Amino acid sequence: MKQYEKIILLVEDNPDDELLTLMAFKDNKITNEVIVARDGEEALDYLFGTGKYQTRDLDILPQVVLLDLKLPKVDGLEVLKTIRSNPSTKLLPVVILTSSKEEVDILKSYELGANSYIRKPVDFEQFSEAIKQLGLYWLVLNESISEIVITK
Amino acid sequence: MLKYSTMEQITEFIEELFSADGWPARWYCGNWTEFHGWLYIISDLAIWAAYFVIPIFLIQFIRKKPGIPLPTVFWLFGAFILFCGLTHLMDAIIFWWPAYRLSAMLRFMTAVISWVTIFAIYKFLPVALALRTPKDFEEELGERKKSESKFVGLLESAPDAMVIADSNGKIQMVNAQTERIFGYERNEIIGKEVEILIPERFHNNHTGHRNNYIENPTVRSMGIGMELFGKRKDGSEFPVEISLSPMKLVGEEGILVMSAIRDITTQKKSESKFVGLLESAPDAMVIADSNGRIQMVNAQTERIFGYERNEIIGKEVEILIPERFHNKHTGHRHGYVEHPKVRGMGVGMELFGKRKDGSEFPVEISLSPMKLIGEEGILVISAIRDITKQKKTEAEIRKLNENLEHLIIERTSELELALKKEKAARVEMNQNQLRLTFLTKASNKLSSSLDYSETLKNLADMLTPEIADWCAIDEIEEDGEIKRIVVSHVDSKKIDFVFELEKKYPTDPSAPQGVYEVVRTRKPQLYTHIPDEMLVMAAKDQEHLRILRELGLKSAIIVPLISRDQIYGVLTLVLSDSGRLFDEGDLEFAKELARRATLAIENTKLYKKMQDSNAELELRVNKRTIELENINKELEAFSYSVSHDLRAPLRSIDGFSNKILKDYSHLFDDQGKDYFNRVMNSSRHMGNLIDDLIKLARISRIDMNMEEIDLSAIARSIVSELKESNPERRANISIQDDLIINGDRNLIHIALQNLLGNAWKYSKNKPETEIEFSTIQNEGQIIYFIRDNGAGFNMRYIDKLFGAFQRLHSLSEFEGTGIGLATVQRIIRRHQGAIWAESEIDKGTTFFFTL
Repeated sequence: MKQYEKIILLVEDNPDDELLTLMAFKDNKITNEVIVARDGEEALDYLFGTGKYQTRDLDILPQVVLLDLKLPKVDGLEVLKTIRSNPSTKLLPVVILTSSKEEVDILKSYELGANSYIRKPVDFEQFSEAIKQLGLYWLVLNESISEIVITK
Repeated sequence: MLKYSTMEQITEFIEELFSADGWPARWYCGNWTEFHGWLYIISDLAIWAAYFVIPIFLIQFIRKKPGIPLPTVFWLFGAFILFCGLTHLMDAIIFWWPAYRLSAMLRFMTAVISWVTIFAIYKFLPVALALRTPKDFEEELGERKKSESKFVGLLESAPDAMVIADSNGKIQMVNAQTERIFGYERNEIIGKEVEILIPERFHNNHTGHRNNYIENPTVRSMGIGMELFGKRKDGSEFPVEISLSPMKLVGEEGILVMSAIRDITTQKKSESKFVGLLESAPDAMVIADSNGRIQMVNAQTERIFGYERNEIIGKEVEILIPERFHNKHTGHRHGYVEHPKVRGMGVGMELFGKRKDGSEFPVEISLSPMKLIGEEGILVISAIRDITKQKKTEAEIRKLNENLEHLIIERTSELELALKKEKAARVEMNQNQLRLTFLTKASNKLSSSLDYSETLKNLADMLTPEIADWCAIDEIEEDGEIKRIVVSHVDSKKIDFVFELEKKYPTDPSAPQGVYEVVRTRKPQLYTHIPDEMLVMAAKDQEHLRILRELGLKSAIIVPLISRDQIYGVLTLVLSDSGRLFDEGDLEFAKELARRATLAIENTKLYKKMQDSNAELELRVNKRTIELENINKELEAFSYSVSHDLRAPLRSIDGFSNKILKDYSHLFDDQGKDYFNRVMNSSRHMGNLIDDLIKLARISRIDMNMEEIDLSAIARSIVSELKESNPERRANISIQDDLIINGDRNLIHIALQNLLGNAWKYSKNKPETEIEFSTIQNEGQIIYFIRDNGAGFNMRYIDKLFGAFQRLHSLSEFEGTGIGLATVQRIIRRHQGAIWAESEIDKGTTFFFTL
């Protein structure tokens, strides 16, 4: 079993939000490596070792994927779908982190196999708190498959 | 020697008699031994003693038993024995006193007596022989006793009362039946006079009759022809029948009279029943014997004949018949007695009765024979009915019949007349019937279609050939023009003809007759008979006239199709070839038809209008719907982007401001920090606004899912959440139970959340929060209300209360976006309800709503 740091894959197109999220992680002493994908395509590239991540070691999977919905190129839900349809990533924890509170989005997300759905609050304090809890839960508490080697 | 008196003679005789001179005492006469002597003496003495005692016994016997037969013989016998004894005594005495003379006399007397006795016995020998022995007596007694008891037995068992009285009328013997029917015990009446059993009033007569009977005793009934009565111990009387028979007892004087007495009460009863029946018979009942003598009549007889019954009883029945019939009647009578049967008398003949006053009256007679038990011959019962009334009635009936016949003849002729009239009326009625049927059919046909032209066509087709030979319907156009639109003709070829006629020779609008006139006056016109002259006048030229003639206008009716002053057109009915002519009745019919047709036309027009407006409406609705759908879609897109895109920048603003404040706080003074705080607050606020707006928008869009929901339960859960969020608050919440309504669960939840949330929010400054969620009733409607004791608001601003983003308090007082109530209102409105509020500043607020 390889020992490695738990990686967070953040899929976010908004640079402000990206920065805020990272700041929130830092404020809450979450020091895990955060890989940022700025659109759906990049996210998939990372996960499946395509495009600019061709050389990545695919055994290493993120501990959790924080996925925004409104993404350019490949939509968040599309990404989710792809993640779930691929045996290597099927069991990957995916947390939808988005501004939308639309029922339809929530529904679809869960239908497609999201593990969690969190709405980004406007209030930064609240946002920070949410991130902290996220981190605590998914990185510390939750047992993820990333620690289990999946034989291809 | 006359001195010898009788007395001396007698004395001498007696001295002589008793002297013993000349003889020796027997002791001295002969060789008597002592023994021998004394045996002789004692024996003689003994014999004398015995012969002395025996007569004494005899005398005793005779004395004690009187009635002994042949007492003389006994006395003689006794005397004989006595004297015989005396002789023996003498013999004994002679031993000492030889008074042989005395002894001779005694002997002589004894001889005499004994021969007298023998003679007496001889004389009475037969009698003595006839005397029976005690055994015989006993036997006889026994026999006697037997027959006596037989007799008594018979008497006792007799069904009638048997009373045996002697010739003095004293009752000697009675039987048990006597005791029963008279009520006495036999010892009470035996020995009494027989009159004790008879009512007092008959006593005198009876005693006389009794004595007569004794004189002439025969076996017969007592008191024939009379009513006899017996009197009981208790004094009550009852009718009786008595038979008498004399009885002579052996060895007794006089006779006994045995009377058999029968209580004939029941007999009398049935007799009286019979008499009663007779008396009550409505007819005169006359009972006569076989000789024609009246035996019995009833009261009715007395009434109708005018006799009293004693005047006719016993008389010949012919007394009741007019003289002229007497001869024949007697003969008939005998004939009847020969062949008696129950039948009417004088069938087929007129019978008459004759009253006492000689007047006659018609009668009906029925006869029936009656045989009485125990009597000879028969009786004839005749029931006689006075049929004067009947006869009168018969005569009257005859007269009436005659009258009736006259009347009948009169009436028959009247009837014939009436029949003729009736026939005419019937024809008329038939016509009307036909018309009615047609009208009904027409109505049905007219209402069967809502299509205008179809209706008219149907109408026209129906009218020919039943009502008219051809007909036409003209319509009045909007411009007032009259256009012939429908024509129907018996001969379909001629239809075009009619149209052509119109075209070639359009009707002169100003003509005084015809369609135009009808339109002008709005009154129907009847042309019963259109003479040729009229056609000539109406024709414009020869050709026109020819066409008119061809068409054949013999009779016409023109009626306007009019309803409520609105005239739609004109209906023309024409008769041309059929030979019939229109009359008033037809005109009325046509008017009625026109009325119905007009209604139908109106209906069709209305229908068309309705259809048109409907079509238009639908178009508009469709357009609107599309518009709305578009708007909806736009709204959806809008709110989606709002929810997502608008918030992101806000997050940046807030986030980075925060970061600046945190990381670069040392660069800013309080003022600067304050600015950044304001910036952050604003962005947060905007976020809330956006959220609320989204919510509000969603409320309107979303589909309602109606179900039964429990308001109380929802309210309670909301309240418990509120309490949890502020556990330190003292709150008194009361929620009415079981408030069940029909609504969308989510929306109602939102509404209640807003209302209860507001109540909670605005009463946060009060020491104890009071919230009440309950209902009131008003005119059958349930009004829900949520009352709080919070800050309240000024009723002046009530209009602003439900406006979106409208607030009646500042943010510093109570936070909020002002969307809540607008949302609630929208939700309530979507549930077809209404919401309003009342408030007082610092006292509290109550929100009322209906669903």
